[in-house]
Amino acid sequence: MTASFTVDPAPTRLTLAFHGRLDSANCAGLHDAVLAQLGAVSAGQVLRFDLAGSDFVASAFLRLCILAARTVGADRFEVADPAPLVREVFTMAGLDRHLTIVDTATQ
Amino acid sequence: MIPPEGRWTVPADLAALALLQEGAGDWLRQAGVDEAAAARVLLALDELAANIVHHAGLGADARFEVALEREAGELRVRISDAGRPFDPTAATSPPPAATLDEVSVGGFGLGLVRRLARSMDYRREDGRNHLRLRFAAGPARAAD
Repeated sequence: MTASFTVDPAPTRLTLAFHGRLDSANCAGLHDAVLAQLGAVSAGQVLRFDLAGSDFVASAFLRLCILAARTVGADRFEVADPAPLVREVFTMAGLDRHLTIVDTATQ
Repeated sequence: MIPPEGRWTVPADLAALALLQEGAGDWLRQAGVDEAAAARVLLALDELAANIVHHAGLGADARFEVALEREAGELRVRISDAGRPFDPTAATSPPPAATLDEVSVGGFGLGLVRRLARSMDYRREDGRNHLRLRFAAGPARAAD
């Protein structure tokens, strides 16, 4: 059960699309690679963490989201398409009040 | 048929937590636990196990014990480790943050566990931390 992410750069958005279980062990393996991408976000871009490919996040991933949002600015960071149980984790942690969570199907 | 109690002896390193997740996930499926309830147990297990790995001060060769059982519509989890005394039921949560900058980067894990579990009991005995948690098993589904 591994996890990975792909990078999709677009003119106004840099998307990191995550796949697999984002549990404590897998997040530790992804941590440095994700942080390395934060420097690639240009002034005109939003950073999006696309969670459509993951059905499990642990608090280690929430910490990555906070670090990312603080680095690029909360108004330029968004979490996209979390599964219901994943969204529930963001809500339980109170992060739904501080992070933009979008459902692209309704946009 | 509900499988007997699941038990795992887990090396206290992050890589082993993936194997614990896999084993516990298999057991929950065999026990007929629905997906949402299983995900909540697995998340709590991941948070508590990671806490042991990061903070219990165990040596490189140390192991901790995990057991799962299903009884009377609920799931019971027992975790035991020989690390430094730590009572997660006594740990306080940080107050709600007003802004993102005020959000503590750490401490989410135990807060999640408190919200996921129906109850959590701790005791220190024979030099070990013993934690017992109860979870809703959710509606039954056909076991694998």
